[in-house]
Amino acid sequence: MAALLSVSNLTIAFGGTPVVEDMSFTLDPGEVLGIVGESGSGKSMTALALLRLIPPPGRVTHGRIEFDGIDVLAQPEAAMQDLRGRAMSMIFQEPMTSLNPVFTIGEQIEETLRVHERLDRAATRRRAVELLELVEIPAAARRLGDYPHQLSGGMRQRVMIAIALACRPKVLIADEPTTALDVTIQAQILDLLRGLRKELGMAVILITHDLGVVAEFADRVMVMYAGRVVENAPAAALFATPRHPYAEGLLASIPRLDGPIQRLNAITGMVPSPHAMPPGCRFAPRCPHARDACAERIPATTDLGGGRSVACIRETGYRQTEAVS
Amino acid sequence: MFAFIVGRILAAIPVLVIVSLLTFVIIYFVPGDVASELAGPTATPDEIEQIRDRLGLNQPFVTRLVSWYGALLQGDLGHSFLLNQTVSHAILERLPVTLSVTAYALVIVLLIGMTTGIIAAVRANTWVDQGMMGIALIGLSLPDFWLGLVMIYVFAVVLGWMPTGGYVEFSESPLGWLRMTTMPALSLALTQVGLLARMTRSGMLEVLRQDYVRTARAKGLPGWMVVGKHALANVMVQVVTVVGVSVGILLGGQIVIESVFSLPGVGRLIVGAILRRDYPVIQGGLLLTATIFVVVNLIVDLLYAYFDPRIRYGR
Repeated sequence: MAALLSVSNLTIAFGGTPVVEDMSFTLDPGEVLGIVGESGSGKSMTALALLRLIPPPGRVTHGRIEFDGIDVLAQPEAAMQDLRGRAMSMIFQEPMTSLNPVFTIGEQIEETLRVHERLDRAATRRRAVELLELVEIPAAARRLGDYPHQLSGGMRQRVMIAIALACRPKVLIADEPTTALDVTIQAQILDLLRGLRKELGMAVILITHDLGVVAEFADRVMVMYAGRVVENAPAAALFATPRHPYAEGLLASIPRLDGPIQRLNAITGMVPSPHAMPPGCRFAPRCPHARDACAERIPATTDLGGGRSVACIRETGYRQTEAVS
Repeated sequence: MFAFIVGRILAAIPVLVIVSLLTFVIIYFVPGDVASELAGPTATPDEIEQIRDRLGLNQPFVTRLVSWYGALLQGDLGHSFLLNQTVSHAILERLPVTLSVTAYALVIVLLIGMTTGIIAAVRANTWVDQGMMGIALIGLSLPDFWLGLVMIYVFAVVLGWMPTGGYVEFSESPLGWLRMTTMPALSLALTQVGLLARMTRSGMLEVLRQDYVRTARAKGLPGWMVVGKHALANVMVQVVTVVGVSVGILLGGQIVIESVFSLPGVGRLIVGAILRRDYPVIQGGLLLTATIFVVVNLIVDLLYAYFDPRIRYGR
C-alpha cells in the first residue's frame, strides 16, 4: 500500500533557529498517527508545515512533503488553497477562538463548501445541516443561524470538526483537539472523532501531549523531543516496551490507578530552548542512561524492524554509528 | 432594536438642553454689542439703546432664556439680527453645502484610509508599509487650513486648474460641484485619512494574528477572502469608532475651511454670526451642530451592533 503522506528530512526554522529538524515519517490511508511531545517539541509546527501555513518568519528550510502524489512544497499558493480544507483539513486547540465571532456557524461551514465544491444554495445548506448532524449537534437546522458566542466550547469544537470534514478530506490533522475542553467533553469529542474516522475512513494525525488520548485512538505513535523524532512505533508496541529513554520516561510518569499511590514520576530537568540546544543527543542532559558518547553527535535513527525506529545509541551498544548532521 | 433607538433619542435630549444652555450663558457673558454694529458708526447712544430695546437685549437673562426655549419648543429658532432671515431658513439654505462637502470628505477618508491601512497591514514591515505609514503620518500632521491654502496657491493661482473658491449646487451641475468641492474636501480629509489608515493598519495587524484567521486559511479560502472578509469584518468595529470621531472633526473643520474656500456653508454662517454677535444665529447654529453630533453617535452605536453580533445579542 502506497503511503498517503510521506515526509522526509523536514526541517523548519525561525530565522536561523530550527524548531523541527530532519523529520521523516509516512502516513497510510486511513491510519491514525499520534504525534506526542511536550510543548515546544515542534508538533504544531509540523502540522502547519503539512498545510504550508507556518507563520512567517518561520519556513521549511529543508526536506520534502509528498501528499497523495503531490509535492506539497513545490505547489503554487493557489493549488495549496485548493488542497486545504478539501483533501487535507485541520482542527485546532482553541475552539473558543478558532471560529470567526462575527459570522454565523452556518456561513462558516457553507463558505468552505462554496470555495471547494460547486453546489447550488439549497444543496449547500442541506450539506451544512448534514455536517452538523454528523458531528452530533442537536437541532442542527436551527443552529445554522447561531453565532459562535452562543455555543459552548465543546459545541464549537464540533463545528470546527464539521468544517474540517465538509469536503471529506483524506487526512484530518487534529492539533490538541481536546486540550482546551473539560474532561467529560474531551471524551465526547474523542469518541466523535473515532466514530467519524471509522465512518469516513480518513487518515488522522493526532497531535497531543496526552498519552491517554494516543493510547485510545492511535495506530502508530511518533514521539518528539526538542524538534526531533526520537521514537516511531506501533502504538501497542510503544506502550508495551518503549525503547527510547524519553518515551520510557513519559510512560513512567503516568500515574497508575491499580497500584499504591506514590509520588508522581516526572522527568527531571527542562526541555532545552531552540536557541540553546545541548550538543549531541538533545535528551542526554535529562537522560538517566546518558554516557559520554551521547554528547558526541546527534544519534542516528535505528530501524528496529516491525515498523519501529528509535534515535538512541543504547540500541547500538552506546556506539555512535554514522554521522548525522 | 426599536426600543434601543428610542432610548438613545430620549437620552440625547438632556445633552441638547445642556449644550444650548451652555452656549446661551457663554454668549451672554461675551463682550461686544450687536446693536452698535447694526446702528452704524455714526449712531448716537440713544439710537443704540432703542435698537437694544427692539431686539430684547435689555431684558434680564432669565426672561431671554425662557422666551428662547419657549420659541424653540414651537420649532422656532428666532430671527437673525443681521441677515433679514429666520435662523432656520439661514441654516437650511447653507446646510447642503456643509453636509455635501463633509460627505465627500468622508468618502475620501473611507476609501483611501481603509485601503491604505489594509494594504499596509498585509505588507507589514516592508517598504510598502513603511512608505504608506510615513505618508499617513505627514498627512496626519498637516493642518487642514494650511493644506487648503497651499492647494489654492498651487492648483488655482499657479496652475489655474481649479477655482480659488465659491460653490455650485450639485443638482445644478455635478461637474461644477466637483470642481468647487474637491479641494476643500481633500484638505479636510487628509488628516483623517492619515488617522484612519494608521488605525486600520493596527487593528488589522491585531486581527490577522487571531486563530480564526488561521482557520480561514486552513479552510482553503483565497487570500482576498481571508483578509477582505474574515479579517476586515472584525476590524470594522474599530473603524466605525474612528470614523465616528472623524465625522465630528470634518464638520468642525468646515468652520475654517469654508472661509478659506469661500463656501457658503453653515460653518461660515456661524463664524460670521460670532464675529458680529448675531446671537440667534449662533444659538441655532450650535444647536444644529450638537444635534448632528448626537445623530452621528447614534449611527455609530447602531453600526457597532450591525458589525458585531456579540453586541447585537447583548453580551
